Amino acid sequence: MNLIEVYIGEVTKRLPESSREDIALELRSTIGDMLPDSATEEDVKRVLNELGSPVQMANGFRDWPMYLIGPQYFEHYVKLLKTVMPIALTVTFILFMTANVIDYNGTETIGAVFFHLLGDAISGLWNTFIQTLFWITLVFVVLERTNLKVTGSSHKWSADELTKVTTPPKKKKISKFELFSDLLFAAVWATLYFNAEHLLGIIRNGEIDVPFFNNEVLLSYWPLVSLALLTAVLLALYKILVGYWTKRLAIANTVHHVFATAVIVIMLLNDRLIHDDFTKLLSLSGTVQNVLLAAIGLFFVISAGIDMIKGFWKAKL
Amino acid sequence: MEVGEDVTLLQSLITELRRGTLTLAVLSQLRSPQYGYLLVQSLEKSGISIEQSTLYPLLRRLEKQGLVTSSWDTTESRPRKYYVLSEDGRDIFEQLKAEWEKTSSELGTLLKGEEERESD
Repeated sequence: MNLIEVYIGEVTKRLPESSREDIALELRSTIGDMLPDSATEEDVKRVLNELGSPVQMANGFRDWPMYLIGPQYFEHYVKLLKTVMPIALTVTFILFMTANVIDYNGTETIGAVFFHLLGDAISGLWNTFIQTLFWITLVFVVLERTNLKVTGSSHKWSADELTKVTTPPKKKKISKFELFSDLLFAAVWATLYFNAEHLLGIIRNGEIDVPFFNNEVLLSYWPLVSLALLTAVLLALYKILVGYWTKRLAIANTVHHVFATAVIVIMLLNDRLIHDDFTKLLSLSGTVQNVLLAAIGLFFVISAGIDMIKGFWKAKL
Repeated sequence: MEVGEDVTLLQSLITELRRGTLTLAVLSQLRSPQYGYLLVQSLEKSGISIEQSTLYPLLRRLEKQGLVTSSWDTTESRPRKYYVLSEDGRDIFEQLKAEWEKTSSELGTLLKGEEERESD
């Protein structure tokens, strides 16, 4: 067995492909230099001992961080987790309770229902906890490795900056309640959208009798809807990091609202969206139905508009 | 504090103290092209011991930072990678050296003062 080659292999397999060859060549040449002319296995072992553990050698060559989240981001990471976690858990709890109340069909005893609920609730909350932790951590791990700078934490601090620190007026602050309702809304929309088949319609005897929407048509918009939900969540995270309304935040808010409203309008414009059974049940003429849909669309446009303006107004305060 | 703890603490302080000076020591030997093992030996001759697992990564990092350049010499039986200071590297080395001399004389004065006070 060639100990030298095994050693070099042990080092290089821990390194990125692109630098392997060069480092292997250099190590081979160095080991050659260190060995006497007619080397015995004992000599080889002595030299390798001198070089030290291949793991340590490889660590030295690595130039990416050996930690997940460094000091540059750690503060933001903890802040985000602390804010998001309670909200995520509460939202989960509310959604979960609502879903179970809707599902309750009265066949189980209260005691059985209670234990059943308790078990489900614990596993649901645990799931949310892990998911939240995982995704936020992942985002920061990626940030750490892409070398993006946040809020210039690397520039030289001077005492002059203290004069610029103004506690933003109370009115500009983003309340926990606002964040909470943002995330709750996103979660409710997501639940309703992806479970429309079971939740949205006229319910008789605990089952959907007349569905509001053509489920296939509704769900065919899933990429757009998911993207809108994602922008909603990202916006909420951005709000947490900034803490109060700024012009940038107001712009981000506008981008999200324009996009989300556009998605809703596009869906409403599809004349196959509403289920035929529901149309029949209402027995409205085509024009009246279209006017109704237009009104709903207008409602979304106006409420989005109000929120956008509110953002800029608060940023200006 | 236990004796063993004291020794490891001292060891880690020494390592910390030396870490910064290694770059300077390596740069000082690279006015003319050198290959890795030769560098280890010339440093050792001056009493500076450097782990090989520290030296090679250090050389690579210096190359990435543009302070040294490297080239493979394949004319001899064993190919060798030679490192030498770049133009930038020479500049930086001179400045670093001046800084070291300044620090060392300042520290010398400081430690001498300490000795005198002790003997009072």
